[in-house]
Amino acid sequence: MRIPALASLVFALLLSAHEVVAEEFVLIVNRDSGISNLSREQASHLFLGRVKMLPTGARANVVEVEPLRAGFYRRLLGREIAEINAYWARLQFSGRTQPPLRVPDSAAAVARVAEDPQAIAFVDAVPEDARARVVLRLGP
Amino acid sequence: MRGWCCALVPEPASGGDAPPRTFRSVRRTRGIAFRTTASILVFGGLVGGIAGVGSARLIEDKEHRRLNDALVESMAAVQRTASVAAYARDEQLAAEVVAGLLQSSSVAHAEILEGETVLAAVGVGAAQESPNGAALRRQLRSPFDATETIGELRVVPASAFIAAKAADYSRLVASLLAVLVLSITLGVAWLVGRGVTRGIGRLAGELHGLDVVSGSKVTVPAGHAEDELGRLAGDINALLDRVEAALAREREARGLHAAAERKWRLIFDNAGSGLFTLDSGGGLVEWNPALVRALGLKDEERGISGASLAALLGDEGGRLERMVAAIVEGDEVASADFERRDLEGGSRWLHVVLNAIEGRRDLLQGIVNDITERKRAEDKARAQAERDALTGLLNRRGLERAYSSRRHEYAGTAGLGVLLVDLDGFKWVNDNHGHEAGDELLQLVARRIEGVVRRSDKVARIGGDEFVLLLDDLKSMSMARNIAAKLVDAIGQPFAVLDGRKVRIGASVGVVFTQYPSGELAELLRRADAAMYEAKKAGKSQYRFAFPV
Repeated sequence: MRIPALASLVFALLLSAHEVVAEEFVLIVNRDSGISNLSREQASHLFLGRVKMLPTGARANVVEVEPLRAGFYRRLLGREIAEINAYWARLQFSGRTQPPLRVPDSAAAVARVAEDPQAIAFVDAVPEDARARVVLRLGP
Repeated sequence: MRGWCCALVPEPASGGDAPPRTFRSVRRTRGIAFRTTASILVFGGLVGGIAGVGSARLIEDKEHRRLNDALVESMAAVQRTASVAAYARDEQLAAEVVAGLLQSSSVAHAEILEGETVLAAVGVGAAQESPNGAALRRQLRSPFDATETIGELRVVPASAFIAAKAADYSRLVASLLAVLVLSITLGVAWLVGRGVTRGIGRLAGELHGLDVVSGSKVTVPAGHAEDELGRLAGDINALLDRVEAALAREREARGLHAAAERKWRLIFDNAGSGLFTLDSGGGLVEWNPALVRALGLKDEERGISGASLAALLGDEGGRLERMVAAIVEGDEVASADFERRDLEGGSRWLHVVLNAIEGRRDLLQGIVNDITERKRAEDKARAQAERDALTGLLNRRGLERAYSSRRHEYAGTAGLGVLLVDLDGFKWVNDNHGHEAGDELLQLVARRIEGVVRRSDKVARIGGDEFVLLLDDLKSMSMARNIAAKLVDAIGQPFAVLDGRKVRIGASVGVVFTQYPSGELAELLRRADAAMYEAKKAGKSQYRFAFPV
C-alpha cells in the first residue's frame, strides 16, 4: 500500500500547480428545485450537455467552478480535462449546445444555486447555505 | 573431213536461247512488309483489346473498392465528431457532420442516429430504403465510455456515381493501355518493317530486276552487313558471281565453237572440191559452191536442196544409187568417176567419193572433184602411147587396144578383115637415100593406106615397114580382096621423097577374113603373116588370103 500512496502523492504534487485537489465533490441544487438526489449518470449527462432538463422538466442551468473542473471530471468520468475541453470545443462549433457557466470559486457557485431553482453545480464541500441541497456526493 | 562434216550436222536448238522466264510481280497486299505489319497490328490489337477489356473490369472493380474505402475512411474521420453530436444530441453539429459527408459526390445519403432518433439526415432517399447492405454503418460510442453505444452513422454510397466514376477511370486506363499497345505495335511494325521486311523487299526487288549477264550485284542493305540479311545478300552475290563465271565460260566456249564453225564454214565454202552431205535416199542436204561449179549448174538451178545427186550427175546407170546403198548397208567408203554431159555436147568428168558418217546411218558425206583435165590428159597420153610417132598411125599396142575394144562388135554376122602389109624394096630406099628418105617414105605410105581404107578402119605400123589394117564390118570376102588390091596398086605407084626424088616400092599383103574372130589378135596376125609370106614368095607386090581356119 505504501507505493500506491506515494504514487498518488507524486501525482497530486504534479497537478497542484494548476488546480486545487479536493477531497470530495458535492453536487448541489436549489432547495426549491424539487430534486432530492441525482445518479452519477444523471450528473454526467447534465454536466456534458447530453441532458438539458432537470428531472423535474425545468431547464438545467449548469455551473462549473473553474479551479475544480479537472478534479471533478476526473472523479465523475475518469477523464482528463483536455478531453472535456475538446468535447466542448466540438459542440461550441455548432453553437446549439452551450457549455456550463463557469464561476471562479465554490462560493460563487453556491450563491448562484441559492438564487436559481434551475441551477446545478459542484463544489468541494457541503455548503452551509440552507438554500443549497446536496443531491450527490462524489467521495474519493 | 570429220570437222566440216560435223559443222554441217544440224544441231538441236540450244536451250540457252529460250526467252527468260518472266516472274510475277509481288502484289502489294501479298508482300512480306504488308503481311508482317498487318499480322503485328492484328496481334497487337487483339492483345491490346483483351488486355484493355480485362484490365477495364479489374480496374473498375478496384476503383469501386477504392471509392468505397475512401468513403469508409471519411466516415472514420468524422466518427468522433458524430459521436459527440450524438452524445450531446446536437442536431446542429450532426447536420454539419452529415453535410460534410455529403460534400463527397460518392455519398448519396448520410444520417446520424442517437438511439433510434435521427439527429440529422441529408441526401436523397433514406438509409432504410437502400438496398440490402448498401448502406455503410458505423457504431457511434459515447465519447466518455467506449463500451456504450449511443447511435449510428449511416452513409449510403452514390452507387451509380461510383460506378460511373470507376467506369470512367477504367475507360481512361483502357484508352491509355490501348494507346500504349498501339504505339508499341506500330513501333514494332515500323522496326520490323524497317529492320527486316524492307530490307528483304528491297533485296527481292533488286534481285527481281537484276540483269545477271551485266554482272551487276545486289547491294547489302544499309546497317545489315553483320546480320542474316547481309549474309543473304552476300550469298546471292556469291551465287551471282558463280553464275556469271559460268556464263562467261559458256560464252567463251560458244565463241570458240562459233569461231571453229566459221573457220570450217570458210574452208567448206572456199574448198576447191565439191563437198556435200546426202540423205540415205541420195538427196542433197548440204553442199558448197564448189559442188555447184563442179556440176556446171546455172544460177537458176542452184536451188537443189533435196535433189538427187544421181540425177544431177547424169548417172543413168544408177551407179551412184548403188554406192549410196552400199554405204547405208555399212561400207565405209565408195568412189567412182562419172561423165556428165552438158547440153552443148561437151562433157565433164567428176570423181565422186562417198563416206559413211560415224554414228549416222541416215546421212552420208561426199566429195566431188572435177577430173576432166586429168581425164583428158590421160586420154591424150594413152592416145600417144598407142600411136606410132613417125606416121601417126597406131602402134602395136594401139592396134591391140583397138582390136580388144571392138572385139564384141566383131561377133556379128559381118566379117573382119585383117591385112598385114610388108613393103618391098624399102630397105633399098633406106640404104640408098638415107634414113630421112626412109622415114618420109613411111609417112607417105601411111597416107596412101589411109586413103584407101574407110575412116572407121584401123591402120597400124607394127614394125619397121610392116603395117596392119583392121577392116570392120566387111560384107563379104570380096570387099577385103578389093581393098587389098587397091593397097597393092596404091603403094606400087612411085613416091616423091626428099624434094622430088622418085622412088618405087611395092607391097606384099597377107589377108585374113573371118566372120567369127577366134581369140587373140596375135593368132590372126600370125595367119596374115603367113599369107603375106606366100605373097612375097610368089613374086611380091601382090596379096594372098590366108586359109580359113
